[in-house]
Amino acid sequence: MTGRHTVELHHTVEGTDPGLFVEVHEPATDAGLRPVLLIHGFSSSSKLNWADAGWIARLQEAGRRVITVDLPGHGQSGSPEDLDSYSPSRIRADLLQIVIDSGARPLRDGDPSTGLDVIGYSLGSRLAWEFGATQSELVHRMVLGGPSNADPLAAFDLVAAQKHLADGTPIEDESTAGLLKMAQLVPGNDLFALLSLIEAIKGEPFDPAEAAPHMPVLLVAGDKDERAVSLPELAALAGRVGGLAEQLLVPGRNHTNVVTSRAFKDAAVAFLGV
Amino acid sequence: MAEISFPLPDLGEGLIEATVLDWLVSPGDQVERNQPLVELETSKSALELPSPQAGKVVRIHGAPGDTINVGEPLIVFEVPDNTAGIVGTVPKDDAPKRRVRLSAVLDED
Repeated sequence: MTGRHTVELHHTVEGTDPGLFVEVHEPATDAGLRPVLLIHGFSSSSKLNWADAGWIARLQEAGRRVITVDLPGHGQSGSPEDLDSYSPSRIRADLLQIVIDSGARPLRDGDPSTGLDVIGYSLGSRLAWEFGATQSELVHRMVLGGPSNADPLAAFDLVAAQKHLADGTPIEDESTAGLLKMAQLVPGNDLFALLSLIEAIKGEPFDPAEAAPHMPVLLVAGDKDERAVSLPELAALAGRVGGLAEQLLVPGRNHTNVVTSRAFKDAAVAFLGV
Repeated sequence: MAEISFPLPDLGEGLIEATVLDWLVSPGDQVERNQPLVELETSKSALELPSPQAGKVVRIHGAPGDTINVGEPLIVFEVPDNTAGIVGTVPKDDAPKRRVRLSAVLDED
């Protein structure tokens, strides 16, 4: 049987405990490769994005040790009161502490057990892009699913969303209405926490050109995902700093349903299996 | 040999239907318990449905793009006669519950 255990975040970053839910999933037979960190998308969770969609089992089959983290206000993580706990920079700092506490070690030439591979989806890909750009001594390779070169969350109309939640006033902006609807679809979602996350992201919107990852990156999107147009632009940004970016478009899939695709999983497992 | 039909299970949280994205098995395939059978999309997310049991696939219901209601037939297996009476459920991979021993430990003194 394959093992699974939760990890306590022993070291707080910035002196406060963000209450993030972390699990480490051990493979039945360890391939001896570095651990894989999975970062889920907005309004999702490690369970929805990775477990139910078959990713954890697929990676374990490939002999990989998998670290999952629920983002603040998502899944089984806490919903901190302070806005700072939701800022992308703070989340990246917490992720770094979590992977170190879970056994990831800086990359050493010739030792495939060192370093960390990262798979992100959507907002998780944004966090991974920035994480990889600043952690080149730790991150070996990354797979970024449904990434965007713009920031749909930073463009979210918070005032309209709050009005809508208070008295049902219709939301004019289509993207805002869609994101809020998606957030409301998942029972148990803490809307206050998700809106806090959006507010914090507005303070630190995604700018992929500011820092690009130098390590090899695989960019994946469904060809029916409107964000698929981001792939060549992100690849160009990575190329500008000497990074190698491969691109994969999955036929017939959109932003929601590319997540379970075999083509996506097979490509990710092969790309990270070196 | 006997046949067992499995309906689309309750996917939880008020979901009443799912759309088939892709079948991962075909009629004639021998599958293991927990092996992913089909990719489904609900109004909330996309997921893989693990096989509730081992057996040979006889029939699958729903082509990619088709919507299936919870409780409608999804897949039919052929199994040896002596196991046909056992009706399976979709296994849940929950975290182990902490066990607390309530009885007194008598051999400590």
